[in-house]
Amino acid sequence: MKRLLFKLILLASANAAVGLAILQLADARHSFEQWQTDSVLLATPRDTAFDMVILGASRVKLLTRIRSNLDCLQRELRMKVLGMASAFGGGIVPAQMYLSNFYERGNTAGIVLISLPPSILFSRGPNQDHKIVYYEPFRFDFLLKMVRHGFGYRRIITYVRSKFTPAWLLQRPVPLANAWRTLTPEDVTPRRIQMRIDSMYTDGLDEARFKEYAKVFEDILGMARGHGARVVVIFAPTLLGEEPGTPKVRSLLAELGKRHAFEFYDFTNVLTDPSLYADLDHLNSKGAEQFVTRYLKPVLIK
Amino acid sequence: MLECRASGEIQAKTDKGMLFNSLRFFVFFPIVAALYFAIPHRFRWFLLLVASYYFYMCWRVRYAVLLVISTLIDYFAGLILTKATSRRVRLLCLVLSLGANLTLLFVFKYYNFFTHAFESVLSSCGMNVALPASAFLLPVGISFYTLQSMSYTIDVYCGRQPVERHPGIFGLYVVFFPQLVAGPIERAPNLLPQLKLEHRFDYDRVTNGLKLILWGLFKKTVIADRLGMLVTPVYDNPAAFDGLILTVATVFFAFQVYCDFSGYSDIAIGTAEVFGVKLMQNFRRPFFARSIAELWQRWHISLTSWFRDYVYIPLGGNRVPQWRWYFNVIVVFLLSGLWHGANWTFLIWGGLHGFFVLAGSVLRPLRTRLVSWIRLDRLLGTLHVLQVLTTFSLFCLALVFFRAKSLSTAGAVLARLFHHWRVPLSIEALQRIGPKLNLQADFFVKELALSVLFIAFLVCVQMVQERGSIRQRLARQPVWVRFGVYSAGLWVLFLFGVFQQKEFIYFTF
Repeated sequence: MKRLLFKLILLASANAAVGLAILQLADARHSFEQWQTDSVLLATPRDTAFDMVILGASRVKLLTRIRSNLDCLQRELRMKVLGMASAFGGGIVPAQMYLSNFYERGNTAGIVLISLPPSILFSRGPNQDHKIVYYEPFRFDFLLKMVRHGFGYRRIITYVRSKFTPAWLLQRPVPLANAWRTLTPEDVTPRRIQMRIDSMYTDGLDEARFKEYAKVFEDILGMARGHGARVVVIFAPTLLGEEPGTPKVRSLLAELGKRHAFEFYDFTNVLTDPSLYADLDHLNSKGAEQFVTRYLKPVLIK
Repeated sequence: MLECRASGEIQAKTDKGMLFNSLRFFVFFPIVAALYFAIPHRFRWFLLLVASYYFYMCWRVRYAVLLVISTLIDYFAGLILTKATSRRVRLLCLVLSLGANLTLLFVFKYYNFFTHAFESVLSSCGMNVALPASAFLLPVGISFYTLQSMSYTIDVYCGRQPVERHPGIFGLYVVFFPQLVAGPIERAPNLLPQLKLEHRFDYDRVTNGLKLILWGLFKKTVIADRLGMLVTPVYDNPAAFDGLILTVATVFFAFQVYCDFSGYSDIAIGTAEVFGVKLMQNFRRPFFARSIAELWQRWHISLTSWFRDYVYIPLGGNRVPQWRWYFNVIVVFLLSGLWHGANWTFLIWGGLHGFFVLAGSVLRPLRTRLVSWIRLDRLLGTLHVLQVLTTFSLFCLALVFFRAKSLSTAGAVLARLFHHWRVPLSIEALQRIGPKLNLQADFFVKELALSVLFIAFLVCVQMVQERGSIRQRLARQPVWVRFGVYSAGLWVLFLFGVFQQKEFIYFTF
């Protein structure tokens, strides 16, 4: 039996070593600007001082994923900005993982801007079931973060496995074109709004999940404040109106405000013109420019 | 946006018992195996019995009661059969034992089918009767373990098997976890003695078993579950697809069901081999058969031999007048079809195979004359290939009924199978098929290519296996070659396995 165990361990170790070597080589080849990739880890440098980092989901990812939007943001705010929002509807768990990775790499930020769509505090989909497993490179520390946050083993296997595809190994920078698609008033119907909300609240208003993710959010607040950052929490503009989870999240923010120093701004209904949106809850490039100049700039530059 | 989709997205799903391709089994099996070889031989039966019940209860705890009932029925039936001297008492005991097992099967599997059929008959006579429906879920493995249990009782009655007095060993015979839920359907003369023998840890035997497990996992996760992604959307809505797609889907399903079931059997046999138990072979490269009759000697061998020994031969086999032989063959295949599922589609599937076997026999002289007339008997290689392809085609044709959920679906598939063949002549045309299957275009083309590649690989491997055991050949190779092959197998499994926790197809039987 010892002979078998020895050979099995040898087989597993040798193949694991080969796999890790491939992963490291692939990672070493890739270095992208934040507007060239969905990956936050690949775009996060080391030992860099930023004026602002942005956490959240795709509603604010578009501010830094599209070059023209990023240029507008940095120009208007006169800040060096790193976008760490997750693509594809990211949640609070990925946000915590990205922020801790940011600080572990020796970076600093004067402002941590957190976009908090209420739905992300109620559903596993944007959190432990998120698609970050596909577009983030393999890093041991990130893997450990996944394990600590309760990512399922199948998700973790996907995280490792997806790095051995030609699409990953040979990936090139993929800048996104400006988002000029616009909605018309006919596109904004109660039925479509409800469908969109239903797709975001797949687990309903799960109390247990809310408690779990509220703790993660508080951890982010503590981490940012602990590194001397000014924390600004916002509800980004949408055409969805008040979401089912909004009252509970407001209460949470009020309660956390007693323990942590942060600012909160509700921009949900500040932009109601459909022509400023690419879809019901994502601004297009014109909308992004309006949002940055008319709303973000006054609160961030005081 | 960068599309980083691995070959088989792994998603969290609801637990479906302890499947062989689950993480739970990969923790369970080594622990049980390690304990098995660590503890004294006299306690091993108990360990395997507890492990087997735990394995079964991972699906549904309460259905373990059915296992216990089935075990007790046949355990005591065996004892009574041995003690009773009166022929009438022994026959009564046998009938009661078989009746009890078949009643379990009827109640949990066939009740709704027969009541609906009865209601239809009454309805056609103008009587509308609504019989109460059964809400029982089909207990996993019931079709397998009841047959295995019944074969013990029949063998004891016929004097082919001495009674097993040790309740624990007999219980283990019924519930031995590697083959409990989907076979091979074992026989008491083969399995019972092995459960009592002391099996020492043997490096060659254990590694042999592990290699078979690896091969079974490859067939299941890399081939079967990949093909399932392509087949299911087609058979869910056959009217939306043309004849070529339906034909390809049917051929793919043939390989899917083969790889799914034989993959399971390989894992079961390999697992048992680790413990020192040699289970019967269940598949012997059935798609190389040159007739339907030969196919059934290579496909689900444990079931075919069960029906042969306990139904066909007692009916007289082929030592009866010709009309009676026809009857025996049709009965056996209809029962085989019914065993697979409580649906008219399975009955027709079974009946078709019976018809093919009889037609093959009746037409043999004509075929021999035809082959001779066109001088194909001088081109044996070509003749064999034609025979293999014809057999495979007939198998696929019948498989339409096996796969379809209803007769109307089967009819829809058959109606379109030979019509509207639109051959995609470009990658773009191929990509347009993807969205029809609810798959992204690029992903579909990639999965289609991988499916064809792996099927081709499987066929090549099996062509080599026709000439001798690959495992034995591999064992004779230098260590670096063996290491390379095992590593390649693990990498293929890791990179291309579909780990979406899909149940094995034969669990539904």
